[in-house]
Amino acid sequence: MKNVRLFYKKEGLARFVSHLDTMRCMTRLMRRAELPVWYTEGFNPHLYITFAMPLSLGMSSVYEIADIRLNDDNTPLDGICGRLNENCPDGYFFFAAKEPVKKLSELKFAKYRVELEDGGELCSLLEKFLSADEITLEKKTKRGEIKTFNAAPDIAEFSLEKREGTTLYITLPAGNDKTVKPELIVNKFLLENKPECYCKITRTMLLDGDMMPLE
Amino acid sequence: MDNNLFEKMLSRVQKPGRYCGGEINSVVKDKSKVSVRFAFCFPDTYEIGMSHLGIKILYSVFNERQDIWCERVFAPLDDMAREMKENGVPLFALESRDSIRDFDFIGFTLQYELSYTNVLYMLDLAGVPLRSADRGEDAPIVVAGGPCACNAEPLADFIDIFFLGEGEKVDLEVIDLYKKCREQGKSKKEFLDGAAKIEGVYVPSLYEVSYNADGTVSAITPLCGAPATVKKRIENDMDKAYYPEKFIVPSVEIVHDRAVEEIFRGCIRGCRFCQAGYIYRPVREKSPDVINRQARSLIKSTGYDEISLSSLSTSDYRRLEELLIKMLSWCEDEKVSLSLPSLRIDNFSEELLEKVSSVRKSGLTFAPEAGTQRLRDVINKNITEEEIMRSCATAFRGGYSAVKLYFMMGLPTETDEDIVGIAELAGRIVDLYYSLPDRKKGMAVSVTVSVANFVPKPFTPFEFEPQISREEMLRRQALLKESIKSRKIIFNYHENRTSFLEGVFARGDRRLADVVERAYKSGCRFDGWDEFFDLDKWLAAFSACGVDPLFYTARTRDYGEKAPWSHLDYAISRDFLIRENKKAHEGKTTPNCREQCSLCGANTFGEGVCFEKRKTVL
Repeated sequence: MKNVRLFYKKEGLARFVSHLDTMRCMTRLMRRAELPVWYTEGFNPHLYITFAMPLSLGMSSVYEIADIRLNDDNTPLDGICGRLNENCPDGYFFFAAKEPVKKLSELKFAKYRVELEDGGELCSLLEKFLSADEITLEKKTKRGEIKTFNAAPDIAEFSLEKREGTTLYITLPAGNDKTVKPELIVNKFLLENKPECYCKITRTMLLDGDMMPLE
Repeated sequence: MDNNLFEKMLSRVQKPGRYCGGEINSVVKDKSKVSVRFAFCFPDTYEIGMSHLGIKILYSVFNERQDIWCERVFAPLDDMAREMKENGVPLFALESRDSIRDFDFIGFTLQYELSYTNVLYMLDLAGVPLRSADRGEDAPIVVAGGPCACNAEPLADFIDIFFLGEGEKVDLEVIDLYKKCREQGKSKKEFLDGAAKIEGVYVPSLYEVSYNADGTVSAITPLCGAPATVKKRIENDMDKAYYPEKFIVPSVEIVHDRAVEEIFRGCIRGCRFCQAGYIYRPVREKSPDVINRQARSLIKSTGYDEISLSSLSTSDYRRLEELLIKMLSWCEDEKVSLSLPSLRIDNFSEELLEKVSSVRKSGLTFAPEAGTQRLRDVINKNITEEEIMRSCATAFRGGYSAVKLYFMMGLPTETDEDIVGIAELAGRIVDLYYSLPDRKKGMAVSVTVSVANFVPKPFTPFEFEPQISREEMLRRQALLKESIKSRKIIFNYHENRTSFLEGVFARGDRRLADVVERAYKSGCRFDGWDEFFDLDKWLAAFSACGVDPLFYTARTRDYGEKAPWSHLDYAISRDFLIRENKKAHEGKTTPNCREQCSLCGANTFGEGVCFEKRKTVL
């Protein structure tokens, strides 16, 4: 048995496919590509596939990770991406298949690019908003209760770029211990400043605790 | 459509994935290289429409042809419709995202009566005039098919062409005629007159309907050389009938998210309430090798890990055992689960159960349809309680502990005893479970009783019967509810209001066109969905149009009355339906097509079960 880590992009209209649906798509994709994938051996055997981090509906990503296992240790890794890309729906692109270097549990942070359709004063307002000591957000707990928390200390880093629109690059906690969703922060900001502004979020990297790419 | 705008719209709606297209095996062609563009519309949501087998077959039939590009269109929900209106985006096809207003054909499949307002809704969103008479030479030709085409008279004013029966060939013949007429510069009227001469094509505008003083139809007169009756089309040889090698694999979950292999068409049973059992006759089977080959190719091209063998009554497939052995030989290795819907109780054997469950256990469903033997005889559901019990015992011993039972309420001659009988039958199944020493331990039995309201349909022996009133439906539902004593029994029932409206349209006539249009304009759509259905709006529409809905549902129709669908020929003779209706009232059953021919008329096609060797002919 061989563990294989797949790296892919999910862009364009594929960002409107939910995480749950993406998981289903991937299972079918593996089958169409006829990869010798390993199935769990329980009562209801199913194709084994694990994702590093769910991607919110509507978000694009240029660095997604899914782990699979191959039955055959001798399957060459270099043909895998090609086989997957030939068989996958619009918007997905596999760019690497490697043996995993780190555990998925070492994922600690993610980088995002947030594109806002406003190149005016919004940029400086956003800078002020993100630099504040207190960014109070609401979060639904698993039990359905609404909890407030301060997201300001969670922002690992951010930078802004102003051209036609405003682009925010932000790094936030992601992983088993803690996850802060960028859309929560951005939506809160927009709600207070410009609710009608359209924004597009792309996850650009998954990082470990040392801020190194998860490989 | 501008891509950025489209993404913006999608970011503001629920489940945007259903409007995206781009799925595996969807067909994108170069529009400059095709000569006919066909918008295949399913008048419901993506999740429902994409689960439908007919659209998958016809989509491929069309797209096999280089000169035709067929694309899919589904009804957008309110939030998306609002986005489209606000952004000036008319209804578009999923593949090209082009407005379907500019297509050559807009085709609807009519699977249920309650989708009629959605047909108007989609035409309206597309910016196409609703009524045929208001559509000019440049407007798309609006066509429709599917089971409801057997009496789509309520839509007659909106549709240019109905296809009767199976569409694989007739649809293409009409498209070919369309191309020819266009090349020759002929008018739409000339095209329609010509189309009406093709077998299976019904052009409603070429028929004039007149009525008697009591509101019943007096005459249906063909015009401009249209035939007096239009006969449905069928595929004669199912082994040679077109079947897609690929299905589109939706990127978002749909209702029936699996590969589907059709194993035969038609049904031998002749249950008297069941329209499908009559309008799809005669039974024509595919051979096991063909099924096996097609199924395998579907699994390969889709990546699905489940395939369902589809038909109206799968256990009536003559070579089921042979087929299952063939299929299981690879399904197990490839981790494909095989599901067999529509198993009938009476021929459900232990071996069969084992074969299916060796891959993966899916739920167990039976449809006794009525609670007492007397009523089962009336509806010609030829199964006995003993058989039901035996099948359940087999299933319970095989490890099943959940059984779903389907019943109908409001059947002709039904009494309170029959209603209570449903609860009693379910109760005896619960008792049976606990009486079995070799049942699987540690599991509680659950018996789900789902009760639908009976709706009399055209081309069935019950087309003459009245439908019970909504008040009576409620009373009988309450009676059943209080008759159920065990907590192991879960009771589900259908909304009475939607069943009532379905009853009106099932046997309706052209005078309902105004009502449909009015109801649509007052906001009715997605009527099949309880959360959208608004009976008050419908009742207001009926009253504004001066149409009494009870005229269509509440009266017993005389054997001599001219039905609004009497010019449509589904190869089911009226004499046969009358004979069957009389037998129903006498409580006499009719043997199935394999036991004995009852001379329904389906043998005019010269194919199928009608020509299998049997003991006797009536």
